[in-house]
Amino acid sequence: MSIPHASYDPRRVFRFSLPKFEVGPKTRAIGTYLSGGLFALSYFLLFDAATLSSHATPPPDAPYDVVPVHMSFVDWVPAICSTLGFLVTSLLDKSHLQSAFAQDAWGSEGPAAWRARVVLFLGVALMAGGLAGSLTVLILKYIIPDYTGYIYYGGANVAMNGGIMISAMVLWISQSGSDEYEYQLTV
Amino acid sequence: MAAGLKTVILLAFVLALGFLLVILSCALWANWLPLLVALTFVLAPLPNSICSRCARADDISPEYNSAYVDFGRFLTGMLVTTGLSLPLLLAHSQLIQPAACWMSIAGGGLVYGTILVYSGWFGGGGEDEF
Repeated sequence: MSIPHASYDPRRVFRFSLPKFEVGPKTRAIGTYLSGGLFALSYFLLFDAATLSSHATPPPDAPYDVVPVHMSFVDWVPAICSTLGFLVTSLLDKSHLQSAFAQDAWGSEGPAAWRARVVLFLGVALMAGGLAGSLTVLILKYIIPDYTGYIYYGGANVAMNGGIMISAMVLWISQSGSDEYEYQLTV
Repeated sequence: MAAGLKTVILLAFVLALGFLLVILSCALWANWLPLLVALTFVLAPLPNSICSRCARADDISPEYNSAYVDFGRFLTGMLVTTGLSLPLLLAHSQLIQPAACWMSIAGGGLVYGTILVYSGWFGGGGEDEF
């Protein structure tokens, strides 16, 4: 009785290698446009909720009520986390990561690869933390107190953070092809 | 040359129509918030042109840096989406009328499309990509 022998190099840090996508220049351009559009769209979802909240009026059948809940700074904290994570993962140099996750174990040594791995971890953790934080805000602030008609604020927050994450994924995939396609020598 | 002339005149008319729609969407309800849409769509082709210049500026060096081009595309995507979703946001919060929202989207789209077609037609063989 023994567990089957692992077929991977034990000197590697992670069991799974970094997924490698080969995309052409056209896909790269379209993916970059798409990622920018998704980024702006997610931000506009949050702006929409914030504008709606700041112009919210009590219902017409009870005009002297106060609006029970408004968006405050707490709603923006997950967005800030997600945006920081997006920036970190997008600004990361992919070639360091490729060497960090390469098949040969010798490439994974060195301070650059180590730092790239830590920075990637930080960025993804920030984005996941943003998503989790927006879910927390949705549940604690909008679902538990049993308001009617204000769940949209929390839902927009969750959708915004998910959209930032999808945008980062699209940007990652479209950037992971080689960037030498437009190599032009005009000297 | 007559075909080019006709195209220029047609494009000018379309551009004027687009601005007419945007300004009408503001002026009919005396609410000048949709003018932001026209501003966004006019600014939308700028990042790509600036960034393609930046990327070409250091073509002397052997390493072609595509980061500028990609950043410009990202900004373009952001600006176009902003121009499309800003009127929807304003209409959703009832800051502008729904009709003003659709008019400003159509007008901004016409303006942006005119800039695209003009630069594609007369841009000097696809030097600048928008």
